[in-house]
Amino acid sequence: MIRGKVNSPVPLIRTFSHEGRKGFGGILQERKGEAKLAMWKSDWSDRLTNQTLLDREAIRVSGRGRNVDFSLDDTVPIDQLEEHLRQHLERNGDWLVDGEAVTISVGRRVLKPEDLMRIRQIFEDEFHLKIAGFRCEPEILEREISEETGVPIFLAHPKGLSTPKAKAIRQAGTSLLVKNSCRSGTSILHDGDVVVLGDVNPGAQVIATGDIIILGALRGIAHAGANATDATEAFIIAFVLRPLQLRIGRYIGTAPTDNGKEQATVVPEIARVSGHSIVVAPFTGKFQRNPMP
Amino acid sequence: MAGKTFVVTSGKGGVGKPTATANIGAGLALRGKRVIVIDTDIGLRNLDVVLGLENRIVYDLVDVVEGNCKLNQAMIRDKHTNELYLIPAAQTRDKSAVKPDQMKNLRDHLKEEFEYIIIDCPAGIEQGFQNAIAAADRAIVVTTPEVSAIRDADRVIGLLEAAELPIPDLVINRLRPGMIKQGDMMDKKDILELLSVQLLGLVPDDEHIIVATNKGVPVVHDSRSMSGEAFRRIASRIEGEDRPFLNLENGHGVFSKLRKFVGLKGGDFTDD
Repeated sequence: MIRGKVNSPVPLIRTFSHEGRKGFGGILQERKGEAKLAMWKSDWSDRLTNQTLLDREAIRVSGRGRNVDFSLDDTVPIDQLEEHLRQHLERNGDWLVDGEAVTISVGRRVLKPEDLMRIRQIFEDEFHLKIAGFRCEPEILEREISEETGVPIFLAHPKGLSTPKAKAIRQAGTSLLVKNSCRSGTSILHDGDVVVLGDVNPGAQVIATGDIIILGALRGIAHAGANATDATEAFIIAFVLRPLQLRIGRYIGTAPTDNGKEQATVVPEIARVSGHSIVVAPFTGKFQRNPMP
Repeated sequence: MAGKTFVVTSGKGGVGKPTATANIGAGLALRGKRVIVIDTDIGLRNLDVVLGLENRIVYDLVDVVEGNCKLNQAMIRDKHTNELYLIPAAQTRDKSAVKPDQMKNLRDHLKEEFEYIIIDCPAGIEQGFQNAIAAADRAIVVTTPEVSAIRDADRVIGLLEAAELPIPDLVINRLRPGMIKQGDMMDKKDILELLSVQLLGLVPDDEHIIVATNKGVPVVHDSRSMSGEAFRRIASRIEGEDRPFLNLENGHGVFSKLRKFVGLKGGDFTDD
């Protein structure tokens, strides 16, 4: 078992350690001040947009009756998506007649009015197509957008999930399923939740704006709730939780530097923020929304 | 003849890549296979020294890819086995003197003539590494039971996967039986659990290796040495035989000392 204390770039306040909690009771630290965080956040969004597309089609076109539908991958950052869209229309747009009405499926992406207008501009001004409407998942439907932009927005699945259930599933972003172990040097950045089917080894990092679930051993770095200032809701679950460093929102915890033997029994554990520190508890399989007051 | 191409790599320096390459190559040659080892560590060549062929170098890898000599002019025959050849690295150039495509081309020529092509990779993950892995069908990753070496091995395995090579085999070098027994050294279970690869061999830390390297005779020729036996077993596993791993916790006890004293040689290594 490898454990080490990691020096933080900013002065740290030592916070109390939790009694009776397994694993991460050692040193729990909080970043002081917001300046560093803001810097880091801009770095994050930079890296997110520079991320290359995996072998995935960002734009898919399908016919719905007489209607042509453009499905936009909701995991691709909006700036990249625009580029993909332009390229796609330039290469494959010949068969579309000028003025033809198309619909746009945005998936689970939460579109800001200005994003919507940018997409509309590409279709209507640059390629002379008409947008009949946007399709989206029910939980991200925002009527104001429709009113503000004058474009009709309708549900992708009219008999879809009811609103409270959809909220429990997650409002923004989608989940990324990583179907292999993350070895040293791997960096996964995702706007949403991340599930890793394998281990996260030392030297690898998983950074997500949502939650992180690792169906294996976490020995590297995991950062959940990455660009939220208040990420008390975010959590990290791993079958074997032995990270070098845990980060949830603006909290950083390092592993205790004891040279003790590994615990005899290894249970899945959940790490989350409680009372200004990261607290680790055994994960019994039932997720409770607010288990720690 | 369609030879198999292996790259011996580690990420970290100082774990014994040239030693492993030389011994695996010599081990296979002792089994009667036609083997060529290629040193791609341009500028910091070592493999020729380990094999004791330093004074026979006329042409090298860079001469071959630049067309300054014929391929067989750069191939140096081993002193101890007739079936082993070496293409040495250039010492006066750097890694950028060779391109991955040139390595692939070289491999295609050598495949006709040799059953095994073993490429010794330089430390690091830069140009030299890319050159070395470009031509390989499979990889052998060498590590030592140290956290830093294992971390680098993990990174390298990830890069090999990204280069679409099959999952590499692992050789753990410099194991110290005494330290494992006391729990002071990572044992093979911990290492394999972290790296999740197949184990190809366990090589004990052995004074014979240092002596052998300085003499330029690969330790695999020494029938009394534990590490030599380990490399002989690795060679047989590469050939598809199912040989048990050496039990490193024994072999230094009273009995082995007694055996040595009585003069029994070789073949008496205990299995794990």
